[in-house]
Amino acid sequence: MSASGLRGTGTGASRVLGGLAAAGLLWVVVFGLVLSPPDAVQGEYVRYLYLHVPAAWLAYLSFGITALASGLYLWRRTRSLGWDRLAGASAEIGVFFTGLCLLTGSLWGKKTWGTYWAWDARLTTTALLFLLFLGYLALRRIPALPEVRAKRAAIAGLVAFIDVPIVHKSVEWWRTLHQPATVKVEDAEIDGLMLFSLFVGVVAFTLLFAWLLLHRTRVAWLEDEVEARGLDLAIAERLAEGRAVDAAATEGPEVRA
Amino acid sequence: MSGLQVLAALNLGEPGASSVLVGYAVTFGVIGAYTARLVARARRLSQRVPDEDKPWT
Amino acid sequence: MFRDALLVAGKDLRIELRSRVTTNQVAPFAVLVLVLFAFALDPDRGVLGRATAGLFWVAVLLCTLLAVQRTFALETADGTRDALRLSGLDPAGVFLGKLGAVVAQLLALEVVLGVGVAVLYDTSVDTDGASPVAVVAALVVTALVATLGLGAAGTLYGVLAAGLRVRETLLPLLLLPVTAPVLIGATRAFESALDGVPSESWPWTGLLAVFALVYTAVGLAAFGPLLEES
Repeated sequence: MSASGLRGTGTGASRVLGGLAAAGLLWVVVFGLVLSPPDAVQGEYVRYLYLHVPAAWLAYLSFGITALASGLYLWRRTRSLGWDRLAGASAEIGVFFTGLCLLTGSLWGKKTWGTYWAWDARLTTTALLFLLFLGYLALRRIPALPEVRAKRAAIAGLVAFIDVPIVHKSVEWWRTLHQPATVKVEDAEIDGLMLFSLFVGVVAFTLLFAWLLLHRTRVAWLEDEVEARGLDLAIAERLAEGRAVDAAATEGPEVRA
Repeated sequence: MSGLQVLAALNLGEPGASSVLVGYAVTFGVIGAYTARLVARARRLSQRVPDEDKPWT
Repeated sequence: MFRDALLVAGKDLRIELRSRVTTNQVAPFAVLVLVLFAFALDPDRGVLGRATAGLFWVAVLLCTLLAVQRTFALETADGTRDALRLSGLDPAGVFLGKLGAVVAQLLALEVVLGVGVAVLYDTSVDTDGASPVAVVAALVVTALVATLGLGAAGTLYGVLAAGLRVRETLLPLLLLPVTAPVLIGATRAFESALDGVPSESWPWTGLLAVFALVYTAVGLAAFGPLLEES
């Protein structure tokens, strides 16, 4: 594993999960690029579907987990910094996949709509989701005691999640007021094989998410642990220094005398 | 499927196929980069905490 | 709780009356924003008149940031935060008080902005369709509800970011995405009212009311625990 022999964040179970995720992603490529048929209207570009939709699904899943973990932290009976770490890890991965969702959506849109961005309801909501949780991540980086930071982050996480349906509704009303829905991704009739490929994508990405979340949460634990140890080490060093000074001071007058 | 069959099945002649390939490559590249960074961070931090103290070992 | 709220609101507003920060700095800032928009958007092409509702609410949003920063800057000076904690005031009351003070100041700023917009942007109100009373009612109620929402979200995030050195840059990043629905809703409501169809603005006002309700409730619940720790 490593030069000094200390073990990393992997365990037997996590490696199995990782293996499954990797296999799943391979299947996504196979189904997405090879086995699934091109679309009647969009041609090959429909293949972005198998990346974009799973990424969007993960965005919502991860922020849901963040909200849930935030709530569990705030509730006294289940208060534990472990929930705070889970919330933070899930949000970081969520922001990553939201970005990926926007990226794939943008690349896809360039080919099908002719533009990298369109202010349609879904994309706009996703962009706001991205910004909402980016702010949450920024809040998590404040220098403060873990409990103080955790409480503030938990409230911010819950509030951000509560805001999502309001944002979604307002953006949807706004954008459907003046224009009918643009080319809808999930067409009324979706080919069976396409649907299956989409399913493969969702499952594979969810496995990947689980693996990433596991490791990211453990890394969060390690970060807190290393910092605490660093603090303990510094305190111990200061104490040792203090004792040395004391010893020198008490011996001093006798030596001089 | 052999490599050639895969390539043939990828319909590289079709319009847009190459750009979709690039899109997939970028996507998985980005995922790979994030994963690699996470794993590197995990390894680096793991060195500073003895095994007995880690709750998962 | 309401008595404590009035106490805190009164204190904040009295401080404002004596220091006149809102009147001397934020109000001019608001007008300045309107002027900047005119520089950016070419007054000759009628864009300003058409975009009035949106520009108005963006200016209000920016003023909200300043008002919230100020209301919590008041507390971090001279250890007033600890005094607030030790005073035995009901935290929910403190939240309502701060909210009230912020809303009062924002409403005053909106009046200034309203006059500014009417004068500077040559806004036309199309009253062919509906009665002026209906239009004014729509505008006023929308403004009240939207401001309440902005104030509630602002006060909540203000205390979340309070006491932190990065507060100035963190608060906008936290608050602006959250208040996007208010910007969307208030602008659409104003646009409908100004276009002479105030009936179309009420659904948006409803959405704004939901927003205000949700954030006031969350603020009331969360203020206590947040004020507790440093």
